[in-house]
Amino acid sequence: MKFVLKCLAVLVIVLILGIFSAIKMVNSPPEGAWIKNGPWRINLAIGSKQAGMYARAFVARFGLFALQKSEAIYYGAQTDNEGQPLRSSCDYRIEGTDLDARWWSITAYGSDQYLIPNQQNRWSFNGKNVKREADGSYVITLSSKPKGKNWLPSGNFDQVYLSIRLYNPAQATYENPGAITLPRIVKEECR
Amino acid sequence: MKSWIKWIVATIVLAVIVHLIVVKIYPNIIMGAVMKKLEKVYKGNNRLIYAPPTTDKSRNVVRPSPDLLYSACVYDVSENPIRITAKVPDTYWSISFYESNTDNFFVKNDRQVKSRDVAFILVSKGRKVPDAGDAEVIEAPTDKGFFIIRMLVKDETRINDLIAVQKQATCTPIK
Repeated sequence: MKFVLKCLAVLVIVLILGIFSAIKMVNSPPEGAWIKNGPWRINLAIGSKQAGMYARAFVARFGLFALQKSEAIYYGAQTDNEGQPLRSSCDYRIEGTDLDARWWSITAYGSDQYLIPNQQNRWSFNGKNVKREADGSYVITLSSKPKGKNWLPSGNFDQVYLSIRLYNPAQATYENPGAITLPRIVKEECR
Repeated sequence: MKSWIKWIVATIVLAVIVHLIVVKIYPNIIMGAVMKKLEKVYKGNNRLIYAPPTTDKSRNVVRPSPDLLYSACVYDVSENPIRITAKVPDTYWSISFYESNTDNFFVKNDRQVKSRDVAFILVSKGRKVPDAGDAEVIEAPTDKGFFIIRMLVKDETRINDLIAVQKQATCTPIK
């Protein structure tokens, strides 16, 4: 009887440890799994056979049906340039220049991983619709309230995610994804 | 070795095994759930789903792109191959196939196709297609999976033109 109880206790602990550690690793893969570029993170194996099991699980959770890198690559950010989480209670300037790809976009998602509801139906900016400064650069304002000429609504979330999509990117991006120039994410005011 | 040390070692080893199994099967579970949901909503597989323009109400799959118009299909080639045809618009277009563990095993875009009218035959691994004609034959690593056609909405005022092109795509089992 004592042996059976011990086995049951082990089984419960095994399941709790095994399942919870798996969920934790899927939600927050180790930093080493990513190539860093400022606040942005990328894993070029995403979507492909070369993806490790953690990368594959991460994609299933946060980017199901991602394309392999020959077609598109994806940078993600959940912090600003200072490493602080992106929140709807703060405003951010996303300052950048054109990205070297056939087509690029920057999209905001809520903590539920879906597009953020807003009356303007504005969920992203891309190389065609972003309004530019005199020098060709752009500033996108991520904020819960209307602000700036490229307002990207951030809704009401404790954690906001940004995603850059690069379709058919330039060769240089594949060669050194951690060194290409990506938009800075600068925190302004918080409420 | 003392008895309690054996129990602790066994617990840790088993927990690591459970951890690895959960991470390994997680993509298949998520993919299976999405496919089941879509099969239920759209009454079966091997049918093209012409998704409406992407908005915050698009909640079948996480992190959709609002700049794309999607068509999608849960495929099952265990009994018959399927033939897919599509019209390629004058904008970014791609067709991508996914196996049941989410791997994207095939993709082709508008710059890689030979004509504006394209055809593909998706077949179970190892099976032959007697007469493919002009269609490109693709072997599916898993009998069940998913494919997506993406079209870039360059100009929102012309979305209806793009929807008309979207709806020319077909997916038909070859019997």
